[in-house]
Amino acid sequence: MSLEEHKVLFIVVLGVLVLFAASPGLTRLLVLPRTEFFTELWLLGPNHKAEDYPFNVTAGEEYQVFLGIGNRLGYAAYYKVAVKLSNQNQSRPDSFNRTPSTLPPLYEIRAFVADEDKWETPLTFSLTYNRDENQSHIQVHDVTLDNAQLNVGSFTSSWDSEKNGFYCNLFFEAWIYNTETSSFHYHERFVGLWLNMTA
Amino acid sequence: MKSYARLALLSIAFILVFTGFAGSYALGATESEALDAVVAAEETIATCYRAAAEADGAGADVAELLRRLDEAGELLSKAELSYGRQDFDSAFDYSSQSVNKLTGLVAEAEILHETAVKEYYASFLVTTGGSAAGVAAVVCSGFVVWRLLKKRYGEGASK
Repeated sequence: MSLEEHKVLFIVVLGVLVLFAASPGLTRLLVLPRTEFFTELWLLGPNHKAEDYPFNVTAGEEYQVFLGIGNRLGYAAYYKVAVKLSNQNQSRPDSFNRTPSTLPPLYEIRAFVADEDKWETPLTFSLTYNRDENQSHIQVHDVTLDNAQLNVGSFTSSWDSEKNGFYCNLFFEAWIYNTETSSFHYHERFVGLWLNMTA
Repeated sequence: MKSYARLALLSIAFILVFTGFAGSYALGATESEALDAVVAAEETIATCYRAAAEADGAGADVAELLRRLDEAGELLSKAELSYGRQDFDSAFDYSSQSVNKLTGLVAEAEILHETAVKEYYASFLVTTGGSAAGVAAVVCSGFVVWRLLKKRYGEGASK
């Protein structure tokens, strides 16, 4: 067998070695662009799982949930989570029209999250309320979030005859800071809890 | 006796004036002062966030800056809540604390930004330059080896 017959094998081995030597540089030059940019917003129950969420609540009792944000936007983001409370008839965020609730926030949580990073905080809340004389409405006096007393104004919830309860919706809307407009924009993400205010 | 009475009166007057000033300083934040403080804190946070985001974009590790921004943001949220409850002293106090948390952050972010840019270019040059040199070395070595093999086996074949 002559040397010329091994020429192809030699060239293949040389090519592999060339690729091996070039690989560090290629990884810097041939970076595939990311195509999906999004934010995750989640709410977990007291056991840090997507279960056992508070539902039947009692006045003055404390409940815990975990609120989290995952940033996949490709840059460090400045989020504001608006904490809002609504009854059955009040404005809530709309997933279809991608609009936030028109209700004013009770509280605003700020979070700065690096790209590909997540942020999470435990939230302890309680509600103070009582029923009116006719037993047809519940008047919420206070919502406490992490020992901060929030101003709910004159919040009432009427009896829901279909679901047999006095319901309110505690929800969290994600807003994001836009450096070009120097303002916050609704980020089309929200999570919430329906709470049945029991006696 | 008269001088003692005068001294006592002056002392009482001094204490009253002093406590009055101290009280007005500690409890005197008006609604507009509190609002100005909250707005100033919001603007400071936004400015610091921009600086941190630019440093992050350049590849700097901004975890510490974001942690401080988180703390400042929490204080600002408390300030807004206090302002909404017309507790202007607390709103002013929380806003001031929020701004204080961010002292020097923009300068730190700029340093991190510059360092990250320099490190990026240095790393880029090392990896791409190193790879180019490696490729050249492999090709040249291959050529030399091939010539040597050809010379040796070519001569062997002719013998």
